[in-house]
Amino acid sequence: MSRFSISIKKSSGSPIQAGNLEVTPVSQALVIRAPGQANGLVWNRPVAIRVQAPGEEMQILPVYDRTRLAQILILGAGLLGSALIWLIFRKRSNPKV
Amino acid sequence: MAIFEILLGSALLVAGRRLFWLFVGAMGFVLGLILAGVLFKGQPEWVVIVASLVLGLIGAGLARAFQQLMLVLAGFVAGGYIISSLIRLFQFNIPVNPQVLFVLCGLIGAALVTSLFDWAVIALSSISGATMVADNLRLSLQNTTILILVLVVFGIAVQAGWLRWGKRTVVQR
Repeated sequence: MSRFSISIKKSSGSPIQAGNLEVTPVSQALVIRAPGQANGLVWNRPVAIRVQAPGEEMQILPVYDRTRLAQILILGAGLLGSALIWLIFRKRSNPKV
Repeated sequence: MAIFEILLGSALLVAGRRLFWLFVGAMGFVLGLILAGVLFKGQPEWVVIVASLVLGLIGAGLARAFQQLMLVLAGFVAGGYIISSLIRLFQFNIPVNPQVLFVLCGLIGAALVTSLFDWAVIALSSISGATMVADNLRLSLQNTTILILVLVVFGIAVQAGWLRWGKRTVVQR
């Protein structure tokens, strides 16, 4: 029986020729397996692109999902703002819930 | 998923304030749905549901320890959830970024819970419960409008009754 496990795996896709450049996508997967289960959660996301120009050193360009970052930041700012509103304007007497 | 959300919405509708941990847990679930949609895009539905349930349970658990703060945060999520659900249901065309609108209405929800407390929790839980139920029934636009209005009035009336009954019993003691 398999045990609970969390692992991070990096893998490369097949290289793509773009002009005289060879471009290889690199992804990272977070794999969570529950005990006794063959399946699990696999969160795959692109992390970088390897660019190889002829006669030059390989360049690794990181991939940032700015939209996702912005979405999380906006939501986080809202939650933080709510906590601040509560801290500043809360009533002195604690109402009974 | 739809049946679960209808049951959760119905419970919120009549007992959102009385079972405050349920309100916080339900809004944790909604926040989980939003975050899982952003973080786990393209993953199977069960992943999104599990992530949302986990966040809902964490919210409900934390509600016991940090009652007021968690209620204000739930008010934020409720405010944002209500506006984004209404925009989606009624296909309003608003020239504002949906996420910014979510946060703005969320902040209004949080401010309402901070200042009015009981009545804000009653209103927000009733409206979010009604929207959750109507959203999952897939009715026509006209029937959705009528259902939301009826459910909101019903939810507020029931919860206001609970509140008055609770205060009366406290006074009689």
